[in-house]
Amino acid sequence: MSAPAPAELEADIRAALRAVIDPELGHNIVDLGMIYDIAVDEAGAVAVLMTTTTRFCPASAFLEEAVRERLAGVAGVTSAVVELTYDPPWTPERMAPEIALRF
Amino acid sequence: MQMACISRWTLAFFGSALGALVLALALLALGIGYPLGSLAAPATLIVVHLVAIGWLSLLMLGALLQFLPVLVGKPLRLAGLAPWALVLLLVGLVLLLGGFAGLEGLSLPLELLPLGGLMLVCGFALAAVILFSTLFSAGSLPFPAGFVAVALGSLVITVLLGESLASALAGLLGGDAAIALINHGVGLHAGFGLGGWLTLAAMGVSYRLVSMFLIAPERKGVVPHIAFWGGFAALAALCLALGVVLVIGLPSGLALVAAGLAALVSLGAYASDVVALYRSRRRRELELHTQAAIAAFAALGAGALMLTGALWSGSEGALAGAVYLLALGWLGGLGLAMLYKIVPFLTWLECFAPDMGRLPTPRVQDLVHEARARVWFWAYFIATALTVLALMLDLELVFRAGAALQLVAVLGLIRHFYRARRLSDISAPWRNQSPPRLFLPASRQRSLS
Repeated sequence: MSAPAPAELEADIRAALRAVIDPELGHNIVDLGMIYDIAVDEAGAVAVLMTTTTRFCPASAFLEEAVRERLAGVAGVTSAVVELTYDPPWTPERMAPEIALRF
Repeated sequence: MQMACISRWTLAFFGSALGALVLALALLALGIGYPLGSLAAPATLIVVHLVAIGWLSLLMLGALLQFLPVLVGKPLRLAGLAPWALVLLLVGLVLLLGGFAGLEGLSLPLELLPLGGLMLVCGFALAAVILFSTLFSAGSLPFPAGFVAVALGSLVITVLLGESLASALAGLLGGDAAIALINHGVGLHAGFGLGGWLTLAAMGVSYRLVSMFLIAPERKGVVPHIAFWGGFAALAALCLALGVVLVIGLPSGLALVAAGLAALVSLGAYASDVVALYRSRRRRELELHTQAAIAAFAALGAGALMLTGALWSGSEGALAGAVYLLALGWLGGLGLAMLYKIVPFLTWLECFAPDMGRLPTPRVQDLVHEARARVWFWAYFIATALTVLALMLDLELVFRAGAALQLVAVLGLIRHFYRARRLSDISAPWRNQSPPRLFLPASRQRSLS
């Protein structure tokens, strides 16, 4: 069985990360716009750049760890690096329109 | 990247603070202290210090231990000192109250006053070391943290002034300066404590927390800077007034007026920012704690205006009403409102955060039952308004009834904090989760920072 193509793997990763729910907003971190970038190479090495809604929120470390945990469960991911950034900071405008409508 | 995590002793601070609040309200409901006694009566001082140190200061320190790292983006430094600070503060408070009881006529030595004061100095000093070293570990301070830095400076002055007053009252400190302090220093002690320490710290923390809870853009531009520099100027003017008292033994009217004007400018700017935060929020439906906070913000505005009027008119009842509204409506009301969010949030962090990514996890909101708790917030703020009115009109029985209703409301809210902690109101899928310990540090920690 061949390794999934990077685009396919990225889609699988996004689907996996939708299981991580922000405890304050009650929606998944992908649709909330907290995943800034997912870089996947041909060998299945993944680098995720993410943020949290509040700078240095006490839940930040747990959210980062949850992303790492989900990546480990995606078939085809051979290694994963998760980086948390606040540059640029998260803003409500980053939410998917269908999520923003619920607020 | 450094990240904030769970403060292990915050809930112990909160539990002790709530105990002090219950005791203070019970004493008031029983008619101990003002208005049955005078403003300067030892029984009044017992209640005042139970509220100012036991309730409000322990609450603020517990909150800062958790949220100062959020404000500065650095982990808490010297966190192991926190339980020692709590023990020293509790022992110091009990001794100080014992000293006041001695002044009231109970057979307790007056030396308990400076001894308790010394323990309080040590306890607050430990807390200040933790918080200042955390502040200094940040390269530059975001403006909400600047409020906290200035507030901690005011705390140091409050505590040293309080210890000097306690020593003077016990006869251990003599001379003209001691007499001047007893005659003119009590109001400054209250100003540094309620205004400089507690209000400035509450303003700084609320800038960040209210923005976070409402999903509103953080305030930028000139207005928050006016709030900060106005507060700083008010504190500087209070320091000048204290210097005048110590040097020439008389109050400085000019410095006090300058402090009052600067404080009003600061509070006006802060009020404008709070309104802007609520108006620019993305969360349309306000959660219960942000609804209750509106009553506390209103109490700040009304209390500040009442205090201005009372100082202008010299009315003792209006002065007592204004201070009561600021202490229990603004600071106490905001504290109870924020506890309604912080307690379930910390509980969620302990119980569910480690499962994220592995198992479905609830929202923080799923740990509480807002509809049932709402009535207690209504009762608390209505009772606070009633007690303030009774103080202004000198209606002692109405005041005691109001304090009793406040006590009932606080007990009702404590029950909800307890239920959140015990996971009693959590949604069905998570009912089997083991609840954490009530106050003491979690036995199961997952260190990620």
